[in-house]
Amino acid sequence: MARRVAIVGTGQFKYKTKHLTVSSPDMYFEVTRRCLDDAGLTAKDIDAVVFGIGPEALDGVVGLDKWCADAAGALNKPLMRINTGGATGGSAALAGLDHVASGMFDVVLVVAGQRMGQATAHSQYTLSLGFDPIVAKQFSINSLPLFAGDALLCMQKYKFDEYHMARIAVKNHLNALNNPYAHLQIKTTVEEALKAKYLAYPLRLLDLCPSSEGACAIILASEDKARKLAKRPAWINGFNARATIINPGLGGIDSTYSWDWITRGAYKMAGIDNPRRQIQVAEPYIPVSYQEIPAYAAFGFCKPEEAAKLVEQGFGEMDGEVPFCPSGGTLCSNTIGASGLARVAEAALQVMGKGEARQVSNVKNALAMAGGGIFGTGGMTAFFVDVFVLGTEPY
Amino acid sequence: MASEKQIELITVPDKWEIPYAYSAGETVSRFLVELRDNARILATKCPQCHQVLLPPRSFCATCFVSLKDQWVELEPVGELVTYSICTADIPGVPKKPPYVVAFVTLGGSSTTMAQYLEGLDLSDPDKVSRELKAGMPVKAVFKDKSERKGSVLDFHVELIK
Repeated sequence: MARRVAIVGTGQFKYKTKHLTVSSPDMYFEVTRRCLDDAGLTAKDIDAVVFGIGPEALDGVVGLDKWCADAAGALNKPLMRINTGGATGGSAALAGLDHVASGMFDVVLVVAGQRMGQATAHSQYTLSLGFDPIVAKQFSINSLPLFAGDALLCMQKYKFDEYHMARIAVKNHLNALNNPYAHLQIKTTVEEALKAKYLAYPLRLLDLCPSSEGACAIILASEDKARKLAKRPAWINGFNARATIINPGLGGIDSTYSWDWITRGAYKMAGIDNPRRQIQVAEPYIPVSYQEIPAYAAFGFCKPEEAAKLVEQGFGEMDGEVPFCPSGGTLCSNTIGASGLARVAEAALQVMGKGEARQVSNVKNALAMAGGGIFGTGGMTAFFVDVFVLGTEPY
Repeated sequence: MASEKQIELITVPDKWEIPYAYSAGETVSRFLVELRDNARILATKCPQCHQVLLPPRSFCATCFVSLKDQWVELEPVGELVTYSICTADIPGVPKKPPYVVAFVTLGGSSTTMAQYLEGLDLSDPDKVSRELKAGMPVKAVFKDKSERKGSVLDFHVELIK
């Protein structure tokens, strides 16, 4: 990286089905203000703003950035809007990182959000509008059949079953109880999870994320600024991002097939050669339970054939070897635009020692990942993946 | 000033009604016309990596070369790669549940295309879930000529028993 960059502040706005007390500009103002307060800054201290907003139909406003730029603290400042679907927040963080690392700006605010509850249609209908309209949308495709078909591929490849998925789902739901911003706050058990109805076989109710409104913000600063602004900045020591194409015909690849090589790139940059020893907590973008199982292998914590065993051993639980999704993750709050940034913010909180009831002990390095796009249809559309490695010390 | 609790919170209703007509382009248009007129399934094949793309595309993203006029005709039989039995009712999507979306390769295509898998008794979706398996052979079944419209819906797939 040309210059070292750290996260010096975060702000979140409660993830929930629908907010009635705030309009979109109200929400972005509030989350931006919280983030500035957290970093001890004012809007005047911000050099540039990156605004992450996912697909337009989700909010029901074309060009929401135009309505809300000033609310996001961008009045008379450079503003860039980012949209990579579910990866939007991760890609926005990456754009903010580029702004600072390049030397163009010293202090950059990244704000991302989505008003999923404004569409009064079924959320899967609005999501279905993202598919290839010429050869794929005709098949009534939405996230449910995509994830279900992908889960079946992963089950064959990684040799796990519904029990393992339920273990992950319950773990993340219980983690969410420690995160006041999490949307779903469900105290549940593996037995209950396995009794829940199928929404699309093999996925049951608790395996799937909700549709949430909310917002997240972070402030990125150059090394000299970061050392002045934060007692314990979260240094971004590694990152990697790719636009991939995922089609199960191509060798039976599943939605997680690219995560290992993309993550290796971020690890190399951050000096991580033994992730199981060097990474203490992971906050990947896991909107559906099963994806966390291949992730154990993709992030280098085990061989692919060992992933199901790690689930049985509670590897990713809060008292396990490497806690996964301490915030409850995307499984418990999914705001599309903000979800990727919330993963980065959670990793930063863990590194900064601000994880409160969900703080993992002795965190030196944390992994965050954002993912979004479409996989597995006959139409070829991109799936975006952003990986970050954050550390207590700059590498 | 009224406190927050006393404020009546308003939501403003609205609706998008925007008709669209998407350009399929020369390559996919030929694919759709062949489905309609001749009940034939055409794909494009990359001369460099030999991947067969179904539905056809006008370029190979891997080799980044044009696939214009690189046509191959596919046998209308293939394999179920993965699938989903959809039981959720999502108003606005074309099909009412239950239905099965299959991701299939046809005629040795390298990529899958989405298709409806028909001809199954879906009165017990859980039973169908247990019975369907990746790798099962499928065949393309075309609508009668008079019903074909130059659409991917001009055929569906069924299991080969």
